[in-house]
Formats: sequence, structure tokens, C-alpha cells
Amino acid sequence: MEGFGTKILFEIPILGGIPLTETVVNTWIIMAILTIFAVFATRRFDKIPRGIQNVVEAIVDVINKFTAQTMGEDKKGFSAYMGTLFLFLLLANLFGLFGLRPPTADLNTTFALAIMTFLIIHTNGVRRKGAKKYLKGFLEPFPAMLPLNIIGELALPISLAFRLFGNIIGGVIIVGLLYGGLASLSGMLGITFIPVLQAAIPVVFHLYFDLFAGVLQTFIFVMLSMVFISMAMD
Amino acid sequence: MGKKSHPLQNLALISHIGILMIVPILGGLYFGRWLDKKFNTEPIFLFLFIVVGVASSFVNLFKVATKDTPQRKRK
Repeated sequence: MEGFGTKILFEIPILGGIPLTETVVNTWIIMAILTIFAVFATRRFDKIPRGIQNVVEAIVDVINKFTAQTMGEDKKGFSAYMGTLFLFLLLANLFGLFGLRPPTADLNTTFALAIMTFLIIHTNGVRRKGAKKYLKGFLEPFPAMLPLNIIGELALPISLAFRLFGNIIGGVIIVGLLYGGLASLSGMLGITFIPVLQAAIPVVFHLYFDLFAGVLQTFIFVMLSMVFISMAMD
Repeated sequence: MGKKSHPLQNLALISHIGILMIVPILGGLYFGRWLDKKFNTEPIFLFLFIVVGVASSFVNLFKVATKDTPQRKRK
């Protein structure tokens, strides 16, 4: 039986072949969906919103309000980053529902997002507090705490990345095993022409692992990014 | 400081505490083992960095837990 790692779909035949995994291709699909939505939904804006403009305005409004509420009015500018993160993660985590592999079931994707948040935390910490006060923050409450503070800061992106990755890959593995088990069970029962068992039973698991855990982890990732960025800036 | 934060925000932080405490300890373990292999000093660095990791995870916990309490002015 093959493992649950990402499969290499094809290779770009330059520079000795660049392998493209499922993760990359599925990320491209998500990028395409979001780009097309952004272009076509914002094509023609009226003063009185109509049709899809209502949806767009609702999304933007909710994200703006949520960012302002969590981070404070002065850090409302982060709503662009948070909104991007939210929409991307939401689509990525829900990709399992379409039978495709979610890009967030790859540690590379989650680490990339966590490192982005990490860099934003520290650049904005320096910008808001000034380099001297920022560096002094590592020596508090007393200078011997320096290694502990550095390890503590480094632990943040790692824990963010692993938590998201772990939740999503767990769902992928369990649902994958379930499909395999149901296929062999229906083989034993002699129902091979129609996948009866695979049609109904996994719904509950999809509901929990893809829908519930996916939306929850999206929300938690965005929320923690907001909390830690505003903590670094206060 | 001292402002009340949103309940959902606190829920997200609570669910983060567990993994935030594990990561420095495991990081210390692997880093210490790597240093031991490099300098052939088993198991000095392993123990040293596990202790540092435990201390660091408690510092993290303390920081998250006291996020909303107003800080007294030092100096």
C-alpha cells in the first residue's frame, strides 16, 4: 500500500526536472479560484449593492470588523493580510471535500504561512517599538532570560505550522484509511459493482475532519496570528 | 494593556497552550542531541537543552497567561 505523502504529479523538464507535487498543483488551483473570484466579483460596483457585490461586501466587512476588534483600531491595516490568510486557508482546508488533497496537509505550506506570520510579528515589533526597545525586550525581566526568550519566540512558528499540519494530515489519513477499509469490506460482501458503503458512511467523517476541523483550524490560525502580532506591537 | 479580550480569542489561545509548551522541550531535545553528536559529549547538552526547553515553555505559558493583566511599572 502506498503512503500518505504527497505524490509527484509531473516534472517540469528544465534544470534537470523540477518535480511538482499535488500540493503545488492544488495551491495553484486555489490561487486561480481566488483570483478569478476577485477579478469577476469586483468588476462592476454600484452604489446600491446587488447580487454578488453583497457577498463581497459582507466578507470584507466581517474581516475588517473582526481585525479591528481583535487587534485594536490602530492595527486595522492588517485586515488585508488576515483576510488573505483566512480565504486561502479556508479553501485549502475544505479541499478534502472535493476529493483532492488539501495543500495544508503538507508541512511546507503550513511552514511557509507560519514563517510569514513570524516575520510580520518581528518586523512590526521593530517598527513599532524601535530597534533598541525591541532588542531590550529579549532581556526582560532579567538578562539571563535571553536564551529562554529566543527559544520561546522560535517556538511560535513551529507550533503554528505543526498544529495546522497535524490536524489536516490526521483527517486525510483517517478518511483515506476509511475509504480503503470500506472498499475491501464491500469486496468481501461481494458488492463490487456499485460503491454502496463508500457513498454514505464517510460523510460523518468528512463532516468532522474536513468541515469542522478545517474551519476551526483556519479560524485559530488567523486568530493566533492576530493575537501575537498585536502582542508584539503593544 | 489591561483591556478585556474577546472570548473566541481566549479559546484560540487556550487551544494553543498545549502545543506551545511541547515545542520548546522537543526542540531542546533534538538540538541537544545534535550538539552531543557533533562534539561527542553525550549526554551533557541533551540534559542542558531539555532543562532550557522546559524553562522556556514555562516562560511562554506565563506570557500567554498574563497577557491581559496590566503590567506594573518597573524601573
